Amino acid sequence: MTQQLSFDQPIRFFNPAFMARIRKHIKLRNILLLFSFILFLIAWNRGIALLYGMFTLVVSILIVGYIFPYLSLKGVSVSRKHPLQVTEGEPLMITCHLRNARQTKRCMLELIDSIPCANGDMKAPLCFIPRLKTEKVIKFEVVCDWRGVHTLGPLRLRSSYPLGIHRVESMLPGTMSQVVVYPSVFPIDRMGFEDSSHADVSGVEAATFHGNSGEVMGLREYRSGDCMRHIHWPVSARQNELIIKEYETINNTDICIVLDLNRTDNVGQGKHSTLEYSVKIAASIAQYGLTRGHRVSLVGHGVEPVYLPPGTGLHYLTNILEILAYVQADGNIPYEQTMRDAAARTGASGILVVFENLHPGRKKMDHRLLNMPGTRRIIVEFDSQSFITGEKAATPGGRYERNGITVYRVGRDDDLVEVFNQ
Amino acid sequence: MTRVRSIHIYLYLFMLLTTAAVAALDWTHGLFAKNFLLSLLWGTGFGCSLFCGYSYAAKPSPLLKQWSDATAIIGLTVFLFILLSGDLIRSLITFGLLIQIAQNLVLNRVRQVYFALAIAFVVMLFGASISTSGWFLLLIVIFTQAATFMLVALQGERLKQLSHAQAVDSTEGRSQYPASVTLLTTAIITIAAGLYLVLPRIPAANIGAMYSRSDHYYSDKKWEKDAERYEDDEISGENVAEDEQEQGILDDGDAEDNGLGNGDSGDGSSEKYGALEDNKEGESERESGSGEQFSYKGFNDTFDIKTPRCEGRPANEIIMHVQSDQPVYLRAKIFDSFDGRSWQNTREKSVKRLLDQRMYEFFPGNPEKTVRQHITAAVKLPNSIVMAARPFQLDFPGSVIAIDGHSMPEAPQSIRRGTSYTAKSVIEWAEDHPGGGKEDINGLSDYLRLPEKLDPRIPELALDIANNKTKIEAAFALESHLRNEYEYSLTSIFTSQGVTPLASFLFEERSGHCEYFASALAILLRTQGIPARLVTGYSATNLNPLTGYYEVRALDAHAWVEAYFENTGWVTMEPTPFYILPKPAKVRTTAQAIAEYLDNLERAEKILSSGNVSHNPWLIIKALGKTIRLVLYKAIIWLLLAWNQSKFLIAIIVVLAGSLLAGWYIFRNQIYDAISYLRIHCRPTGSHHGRVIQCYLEIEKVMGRSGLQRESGQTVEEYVEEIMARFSNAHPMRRLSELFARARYGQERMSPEFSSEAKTLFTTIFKQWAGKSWRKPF
Repeated sequence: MTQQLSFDQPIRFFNPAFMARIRKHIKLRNILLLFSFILFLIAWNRGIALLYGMFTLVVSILIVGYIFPYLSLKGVSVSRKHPLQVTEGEPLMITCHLRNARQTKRCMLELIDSIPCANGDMKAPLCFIPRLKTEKVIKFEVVCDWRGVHTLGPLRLRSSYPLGIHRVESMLPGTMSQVVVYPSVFPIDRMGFEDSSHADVSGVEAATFHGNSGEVMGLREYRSGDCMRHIHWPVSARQNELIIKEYETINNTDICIVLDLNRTDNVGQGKHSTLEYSVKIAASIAQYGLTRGHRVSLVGHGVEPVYLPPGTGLHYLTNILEILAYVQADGNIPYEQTMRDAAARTGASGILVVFENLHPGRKKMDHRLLNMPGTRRIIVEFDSQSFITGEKAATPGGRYERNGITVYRVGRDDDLVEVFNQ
Repeated sequence: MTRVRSIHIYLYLFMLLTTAAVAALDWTHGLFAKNFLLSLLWGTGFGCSLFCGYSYAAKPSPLLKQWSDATAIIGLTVFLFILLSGDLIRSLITFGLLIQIAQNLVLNRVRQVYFALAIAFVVMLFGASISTSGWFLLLIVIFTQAATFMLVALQGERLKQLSHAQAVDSTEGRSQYPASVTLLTTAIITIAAGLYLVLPRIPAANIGAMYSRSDHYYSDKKWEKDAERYEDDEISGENVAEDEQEQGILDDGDAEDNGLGNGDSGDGSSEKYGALEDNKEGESERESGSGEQFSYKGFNDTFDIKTPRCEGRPANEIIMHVQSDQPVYLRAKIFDSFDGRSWQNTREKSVKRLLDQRMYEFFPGNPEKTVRQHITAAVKLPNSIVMAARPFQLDFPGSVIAIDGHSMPEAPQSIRRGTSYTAKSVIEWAEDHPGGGKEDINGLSDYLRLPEKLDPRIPELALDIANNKTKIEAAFALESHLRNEYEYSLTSIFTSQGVTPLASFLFEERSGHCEYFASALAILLRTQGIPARLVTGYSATNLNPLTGYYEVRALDAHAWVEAYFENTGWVTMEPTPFYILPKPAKVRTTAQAIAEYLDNLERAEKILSSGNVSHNPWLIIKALGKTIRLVLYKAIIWLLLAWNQSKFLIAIIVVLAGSLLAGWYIFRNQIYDAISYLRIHCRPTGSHHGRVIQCYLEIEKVMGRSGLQRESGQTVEEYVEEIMARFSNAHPMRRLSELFARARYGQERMSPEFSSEAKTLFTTIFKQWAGKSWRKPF
């Protein structure tokens, strides 16, 4: 086979692989060694004493290049501060405080952190400190891309002062710390919980009018039309005016999010795995539910069983996020069993949020379970094929009804905000 | 990283390039004004171009690109122009520097900086190879420092660009140079100086050819014609040398016209080396012919030993640099006939020889061991082409030379300043005396002739010394006798007429300059039937270890003796005590070479100053070194004496002192801590107020020693808060600081309870912190 030369092609005099090999050896240290060797050869050959001087200076530079990095690290201590929690995708502000206990200033220090929840270069962010006299504060932000409980550090202090021909590195003990990266939450405007409000609600009685419920929420002045039964007589007597008790509404629902932590059910890689999508969706649904006064619980069966009892209020979201931060698909218990467990815990009045992962290696979900009477469900259905192949889902994600059950279909790279707000 | 942004890189690049350009200018010969202006010009060129490059580094300007191209074209033109004059290396150096100016205009990439470094390095190498000045070492130091700091700035720039964070402090936004210049400079120079001093100087390998170089090409049409005629006649078998002798190849008048003559003071001055003031006498002579040329009457065909005056240059001025593996005596003239007062070269027949591509071989063959001498004239010199005995090969920048009857070469014109040539000699050694070259036994009779009116005491003296010795032993004995029993002096004292100078020197005055010593030895040898001749030339024995060149000063114009022995041939002999005969090369460290160089300088200074105060900085340094050495020597002697008297005791003292020092160094913090503890616990009764204060101050010292110093400007409260933030168990420190604050700044007097509490707190904190090191976090 003959290769035709074209004028458009650049002429290469050397083989690129050969050049790459050569380039690998072109380092300042090698160049200085070569210079010193040449200088010595010339000085020796001709007996030129001035070149002996130049030779000793170059050798001296090499020696200094090897000794100074060790000295540069002496007496330097570092402490680090950062928030203990951060949400996935948000920056984590890290502040490092460097101190030099010695009289002479330290130069060209490199401080390297280890941040496993970051991506790319930022997994080991480098902070360059040209000079450190007594102390210095370094601040940098790292975007945490991976939910979980991560251990930062240990910090490494490095120096290749002055020429970078030799590098010395030290680990700083006691500089490991933990950060919890909560899964990110996307906004959901409306879900199907209210659509089925005609059905059973939890609580001891059904609310007949606004403000009528079993739990006292607060006090307020009497307004015309208020039920006289709700007047708080001791307070009214003290304040000399009618004060009425307000009751919490009881038209809330128990939402149980059933996580699929079965190892075999998790498909896809990294951020684009069904587990990561599940976690993100679970966190968002939990936020939605808690914002609207519903009781939210969490169930999952990984290596360690995950169960968070129903709770209300936005503060409870933190508990859910903390659980969601570290869940992993590492269990062996079939998802159907998890669902049964969740259904048993929730009771007939609750809503199960289940994740249906339809992929060839998994049995079809037990429809009898899904159609179990008295238990309402919201199904999040993953297009597993798109997660496996890495291609975008053929069928666009969205919401639809199946046998009267709300189903959210999610594929890889789908915009979850769009899917859940259709 | 490809872009350069730091101003430090540009600044150090400017320093680097300017140093290289200054180094490339040949400062050796002292054209100060011219070279200063040229340096200024190069510096301005580099400065302006780098300023433009820096200003437009972020956004390259098309105009600057055009200027850069134009400068490159100018560089090429200048290169071709200089190349026409025949100096390839200089043209390349100039081209490189001009190209660098062109590059500077658009310099914004790292590879351009490395290119500049390479150019500067090559230029520096060239400068170092031609420079004969010790001051060049200073340029080398500046160059390497500039290169180091530039590379440091590049490394800093690279790391800065890799960095993900910026420091938050008061200097934020300012470009910080990422190194301690003073510390780095000190470290590099100290280590380099140490290495330089202990580095053994191995004899040069001399692989490859040395080249001759001169701004002037030595040629003479008449000489060339004579040489051609001589070669033709040589082929046809006729001898033209005698004809030439009759014609007088170079009569005095011609020599003066050509600047070949050494001048003639004619005043019979009593000193061989006149001071600079004395040279005023000869100003008219210089104007009329020799100019600033160095001259020595020993280089004439005839010279009177009473007035061997050197002229034209101060005695201590360097007139020649010689690069050689070993010290050498460079021969200029050989004299065979002595009439009691003057020496003459009776073998004056001289022939002209054409050089074959600047090369001339004195005898055929390929000797195994030759000594190469690369000689560079630092001032204008007489036309003698000086070489060590026995000459084998000459590489001289000319077309023709003359060879006299003793195989001594001469150039058609005076040797101009800056001329360098290479010679090779075959030196053989006889009892540490250099020499070489055998002659026909019939030709030796000239070297045995004695003056007609020779003082009879002279042969008697020779006989006394050489009694029952072989010829060579007798010769060495006579040499030793003169070296040991007579004194060298530059003052000529034989002014009265009618006195034979040699007899007066040997039996009355017993001191004189080298011509007396050499003449005396030659005659003494001849009285013993040993063929001897007087040789004039230069003593190239003072090696400047900084430059690697033997420095030949006006003072080193010298006369010595060559004696002939049947087995060894001609052997160089040195009867003058001031001079040291060249010895075979040996490996020495630079420190040894410097010591020897300073010794030589000191000897020369003594002779020249004759008791006056010397202001030579080298000698002042040496005096300082000597004082230190003397003190150390005395101390060592004292120790040795003490050692002899009581070895055991001294050993114990030394071991104890060493142990104490080592112990103090290792446990110094603990020792100081213990002192602090004792201060508090063994303090005599004093005020409770003071005790509280001292408790806190001592504990602050303890913590400071463990690495938790209170910074200047930091209040006690801030300091304690900082400790509390780092260590949760430091509560006693807070309480102690409160007590301290109340004691120092409060109005109330401290009660004994407070004092006791402070002491308890001190003890608690001391036990917790003392002896621990928080300084090293890893």
